[in-house]
Amino acid sequence: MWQWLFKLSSPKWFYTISGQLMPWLAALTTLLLGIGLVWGLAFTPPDYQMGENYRIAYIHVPAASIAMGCYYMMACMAAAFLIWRIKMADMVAKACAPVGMTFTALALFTGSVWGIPTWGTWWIWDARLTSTLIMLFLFIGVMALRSAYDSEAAGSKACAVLSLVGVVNVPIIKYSVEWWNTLHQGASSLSLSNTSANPPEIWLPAFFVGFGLLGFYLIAIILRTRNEILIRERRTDWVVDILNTNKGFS
Amino acid sequence: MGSFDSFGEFLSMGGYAIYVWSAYAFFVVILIFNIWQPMLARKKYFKQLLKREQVQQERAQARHNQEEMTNDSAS
Repeated sequence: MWQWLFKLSSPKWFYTISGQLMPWLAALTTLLLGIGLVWGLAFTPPDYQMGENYRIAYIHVPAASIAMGCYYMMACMAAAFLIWRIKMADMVAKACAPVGMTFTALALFTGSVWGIPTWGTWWIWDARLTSTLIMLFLFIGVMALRSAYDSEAAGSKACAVLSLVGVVNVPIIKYSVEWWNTLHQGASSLSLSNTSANPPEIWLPAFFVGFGLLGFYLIAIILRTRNEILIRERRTDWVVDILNTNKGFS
Repeated sequence: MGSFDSFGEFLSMGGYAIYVWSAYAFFVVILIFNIWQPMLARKKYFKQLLKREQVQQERAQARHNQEEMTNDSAS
């Protein structure tokens, strides 16, 4: 495990392995997302209170979980970069910010759209919604901070510090529905921790979408990280070889 | 199909069509964006490198031509 992690911190190894893994990951992701979305949209029975509108939850819940997971990942990479000076960790952290931003935006948008007919409002300053909005701003802030530095090294360090400071927000999102009396409901039967409230045909599609979206998330991170490797390691022999074989086809 | 009696009913989502479909549409937009943007960036990067190389070659060629001209006039 540690040796594997150590190898993964070599850009060349990461680039090669991720390239080999990509087609399998893409196939698995397509399959899981396809099954989950068709099942959740067309085959599960409607909710007895929310009717067909609850089908939004099949994308809302996985998107929100992965957005939070993405923040944890960015913070872990930031820590690894600050403590051990692993260049690869900083490249992955850089990839996390835009991907996490889009997943957070997706969670907020689907939640708002679901809330219009269900709550009668698209937005309310309740603890969970507000803390999720803060996470969106943290992702945007990390991206803006990085682009504000001319020096790559200084930008990486500043982003790592901001990512680590902001990590306190993630458990607040998670437990906000328990700590405060929020309008947002508690962990639903679509979450991993509580599957007993509903029959499997309700929550199983959410698992397919969830794991499919997780696969998609990894693909999105890998694509961006690979680009970053090609840019930062452009002077190394193995990247020069890749660049020479690819330039003609662009 | 499935829990709906007809395709029309599936599309109307029991009156929640605008909410359900706009949520899923945004979902698809986010998926496409996360694939399309890094792929475009990769393409742009390769193009930029190719251009830089061409400029360098042209400069080298120009320098070479100039040297030949000065050599010719000297002899």
